[in-house]
Amino acid sequence: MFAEDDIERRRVEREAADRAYNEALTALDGAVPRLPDLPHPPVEYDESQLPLLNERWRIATADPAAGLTGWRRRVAMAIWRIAGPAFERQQAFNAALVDHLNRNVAAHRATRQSIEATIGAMRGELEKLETFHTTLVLYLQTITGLVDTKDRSEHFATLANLTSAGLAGVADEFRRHWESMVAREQRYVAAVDELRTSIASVQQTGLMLKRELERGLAAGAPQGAPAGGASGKPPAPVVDSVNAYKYVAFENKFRGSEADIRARLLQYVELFDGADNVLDLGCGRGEFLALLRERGIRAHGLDINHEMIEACRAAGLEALEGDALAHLESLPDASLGGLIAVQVVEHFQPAYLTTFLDVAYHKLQPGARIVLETLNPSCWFAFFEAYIRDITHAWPLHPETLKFLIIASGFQRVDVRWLSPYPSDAKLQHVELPADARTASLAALAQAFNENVDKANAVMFSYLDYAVVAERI
Amino acid sequence: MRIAWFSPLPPHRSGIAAYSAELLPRLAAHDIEAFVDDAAGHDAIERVTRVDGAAVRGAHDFPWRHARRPFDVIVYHVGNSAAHDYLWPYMVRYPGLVVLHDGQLHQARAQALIRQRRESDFRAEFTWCYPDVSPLLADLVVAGLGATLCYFWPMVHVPVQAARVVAVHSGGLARELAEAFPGSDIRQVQMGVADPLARASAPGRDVRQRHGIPDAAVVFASFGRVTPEKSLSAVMRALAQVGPSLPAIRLLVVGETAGYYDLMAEARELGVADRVTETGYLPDDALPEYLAAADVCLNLRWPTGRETSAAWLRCLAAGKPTVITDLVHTADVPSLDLRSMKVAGALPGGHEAVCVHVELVDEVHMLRLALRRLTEDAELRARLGSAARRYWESQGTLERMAREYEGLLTAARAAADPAAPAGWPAHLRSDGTGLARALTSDLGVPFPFDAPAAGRL
Repeated sequence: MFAEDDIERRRVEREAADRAYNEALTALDGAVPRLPDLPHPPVEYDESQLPLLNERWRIATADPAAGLTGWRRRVAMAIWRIAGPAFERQQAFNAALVDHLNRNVAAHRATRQSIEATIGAMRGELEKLETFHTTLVLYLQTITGLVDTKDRSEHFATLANLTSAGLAGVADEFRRHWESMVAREQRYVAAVDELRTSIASVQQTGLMLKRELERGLAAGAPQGAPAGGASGKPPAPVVDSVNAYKYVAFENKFRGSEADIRARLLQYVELFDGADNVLDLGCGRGEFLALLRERGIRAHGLDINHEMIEACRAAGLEALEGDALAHLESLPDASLGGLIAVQVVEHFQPAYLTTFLDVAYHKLQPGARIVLETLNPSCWFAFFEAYIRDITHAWPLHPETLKFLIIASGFQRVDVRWLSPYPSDAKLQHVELPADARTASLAALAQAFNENVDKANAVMFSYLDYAVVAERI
Repeated sequence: MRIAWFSPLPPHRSGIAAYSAELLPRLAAHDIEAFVDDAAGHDAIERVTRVDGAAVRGAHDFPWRHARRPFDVIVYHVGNSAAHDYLWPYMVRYPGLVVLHDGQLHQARAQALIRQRRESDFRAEFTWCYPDVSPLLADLVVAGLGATLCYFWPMVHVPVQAARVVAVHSGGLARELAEAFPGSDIRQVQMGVADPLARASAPGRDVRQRHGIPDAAVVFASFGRVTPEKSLSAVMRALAQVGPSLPAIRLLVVGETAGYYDLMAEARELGVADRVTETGYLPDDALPEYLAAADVCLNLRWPTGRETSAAWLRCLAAGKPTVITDLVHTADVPSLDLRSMKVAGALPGGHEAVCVHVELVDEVHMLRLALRRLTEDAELRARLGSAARRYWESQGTLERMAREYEGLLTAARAAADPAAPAGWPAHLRSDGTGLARALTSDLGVPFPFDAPAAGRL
């Protein structure tokens, strides 16, 4: 991987080199010598008068009186003797001149031909030189292309293609596996749902048999010795032993204001979207009933505390006073569209709780949800600071325990939701060693300490509450 | 309801063009104007085949028609091909019902922007969609090296987040999008096709005679454009292996040939050319008789853009056993695994297999099983064919899709325009006047349309 500044440096260097090269090439191209204007060969030797000179140089004849006879001849010869020598001298000069001219014709011709040949040879050589220079510039320009294409040779192109094909191949193979795996996963999820339905059916059958058996045993048992304890019913929750008005005051002091509770309960509303006839067990002052009413979901509340019920009714909410189990048993099977009990089940004795869950299962419609929120005793702070603070709490319910009891009662799609995280800044804090105090042994000590802090935080200061959400299939 | 309908239309040879042409007459109770790509001028519109139920117009006419008399709903059919590039600017500026035909738009979007030399816009859009992914990946795509990698980053963010309501045909894709875009209204609408048997004019025997296929042959047919994505290469490799012991098998490939893929050359190389018939492009009205000529339909697809195949639904409607690729978005279709003869996937209320599936990681082997079993077992073919037809009747009729569209249109009409997402890239916020502003600036005059008078358009 090249660094950005390295790539930039390479680009700048490359552009500078390109620029210098192009400038040098332009200078060279400008310096190529052009073909000069060469002198022309002399005009050809003018021989036009030579035939006439050769013909006319003789001005005296051998017999100056030729054709004359008698006295005419004699007179003519006398005159010739006087004038003849001058003509003969002239004729000798003419003969010498014409002879000279005749002798130099060849030399003139040869000289001109020689000059013409010399100029032609010079032109040819200069043209070759010009061609050489031009070829040299072309050669240098060709080198530019050669150098430019060096870095995009077929080798690099092939390499790029191979890399791309390899990348595509790996990606395609990965995607094929991913696609097949996710398709399989979806089918497994569908199969798990199917399995879940089958298990629910088996559990339901088992619960019905158990219920019938208990009814049969109760019907067949002698008077005064009912099955399941002295009263024939699981022991009732203990909260009825506390004065109602005191508990209202207790709630006001420790559970928070109505606004706080409303905000806290808002998260559960969407779980009951589309439901009808939801039961809010331990409805308290009716905060959740009001939220459901605002969402258009029909609901009613139940509480054993008379003061709470009065508060609900004053707000126009439907609420009943009574025992949870007794109320549930009074309802027709599969009549409830949902059930919520916030901070209630920790008030139940174990036997009461298991019976309550069994009955609740039968009273809920298929597809209806049950939500049970309670204090989280697996968080030590919650246990010591909240759970034991309330004297009406009957039994702490570990999240795993409650989850198991709910599954054992036939519910499906069970989900534990962690609530009320302990504030991070209030937890035990890590130590940070000052930079100047960092030695190996101190660092190891600090690390061990911090790991122990994490462990302690995990058990002491995790989540103060949790809710189990489950569904009747 | 007054509806604007952005979609390619025939004679454009795409599945979505045929889809719109089939669906629009079923929605004719509404006042629909279909807007097609008119970048090539008005000739482009004149070439569009007349569609019952809608007046066809060029997309450039949309803004003033909408300004003069607003549409109640604007429907955008978005797919992973260049045929849909033209509607993006409208989709971003005039939110409506986005029908997402593919769950993967990366290739088409990248090609559209890169073709327009808008690489920086592509990079900005990619980075906006995937802020946690290295922007170098966008450069890889710009360099032309990201073909397969595109499938990892589908780039559907813009259409989904610009829409009032998003509709997809696949339940799996709807779930996937709902998880990825919790603030968006994502809905599933069942895809539907017309009954191809209603249009069958000639028996399949004529087709067989035309192509020299014996009456006794068991014909495996593939429909649609002939590309490597149809996995015909794997089919022919399987055919080469089982062919010698199953002389009755023939492969009939019906569809336009892609220039870059030579099916017959590959068939010759594998020694199965005498078993393979390639028809080339056929008009839609010829398809019913070719469907009738098929014993089994091959509807394989890889890689996938998560599209729902209308071609496959037509095969089901024709009562044909089909072989499909096992994909995430079709995993809930009850299909037969020929290795175990168990039914995978489930619909509420039944476990009857309606097709045979082939896993991508065991493709050639499962295709061998499919070729052998479906050739030899006529009873299985008949059973799958009947189940396929019943599946189409309950899930895939055109009438059902039209009914569901009515619900979608109503929801889209009632929905509010979404707020522009945070960090929306600048080119998506552009009002389209950039060139005009540059020109007026060059001329030294102020841009005259900054505050148009009401009713100016």
